[in-house]
Amino acid sequence: MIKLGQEELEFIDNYLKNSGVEYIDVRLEMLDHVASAVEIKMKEEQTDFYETFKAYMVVNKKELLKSSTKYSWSIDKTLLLMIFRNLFDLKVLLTFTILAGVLYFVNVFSLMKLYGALILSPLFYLLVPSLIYRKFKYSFFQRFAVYGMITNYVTQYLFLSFLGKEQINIYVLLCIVWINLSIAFSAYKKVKDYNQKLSLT
Amino acid sequence: MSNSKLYKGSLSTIILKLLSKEDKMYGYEITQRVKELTKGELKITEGALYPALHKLEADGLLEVEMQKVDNRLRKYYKLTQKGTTETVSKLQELERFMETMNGLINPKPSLG
Repeated sequence: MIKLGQEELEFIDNYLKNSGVEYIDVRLEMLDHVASAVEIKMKEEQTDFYETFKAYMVVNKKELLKSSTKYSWSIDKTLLLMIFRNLFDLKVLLTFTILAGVLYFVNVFSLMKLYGALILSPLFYLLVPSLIYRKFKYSFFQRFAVYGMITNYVTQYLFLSFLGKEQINIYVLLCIVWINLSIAFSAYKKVKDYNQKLSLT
Repeated sequence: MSNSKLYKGSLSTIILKLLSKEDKMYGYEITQRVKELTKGELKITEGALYPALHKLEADGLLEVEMQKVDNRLRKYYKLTQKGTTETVSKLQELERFMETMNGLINPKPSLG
């Protein structure tokens, strides 16, 4: 059985990247698919790597890229379920309890200022890391940022424009903190998981 | 799927059925197994396969396991408990559909 070497795998990976498949997690599955197909064709047709790869791409590129560009709601479902489950994760609950304790014992001077900081929090826990590590792009990372922003802006709209800002109390803020903690935790857990697996290759 | 739109609605059932026979499978392996079982009649394209696999995963019918194989990472899909139960009901549903279609296409001549 023919097995592709590191150089050939990198060639496929770069080709996919240059074709617009920018996210590592999407490319990873595609790379294995193309490499498996090329290995079998090389064996069956006794051709070299570049010839086989070129022939494969001529026929399959369109379908292959279609699977990467299609927006998949099922990924949102998986991620949202993950956020929900992580709300009850021990680490999230522990961090939340510590934060809640600090807020309880420390005299919060202005709930509105705290709320303002909270609304912008996804910028710090998701946007800043994604800019620092922009070489490692994951498709799910941006989605987590969107969920964080939606949670914060929808609640902001709900309280400031609909229910009235006098309805904002420490319990409302704590709930938003809790959801944001779970989003941040889910994002880091998923990135860590992928990074660990990628370091194996 | 390249051959026919008729197969499109059955893609999830095909994937679940294949996985019920194996411990775990990866994307390319699924396409090849289908090709082999149907003697090349049915070809599942990447554009149809991966969104279907991701949807089944999101629905909790499949779970993913990643393994390093031949210098690269491979995503294996396997049935969950819920997926195993769902496979049985989806296959029954497909069989009923085929019987109905058969009844429509090849109606039994009436005695009267």
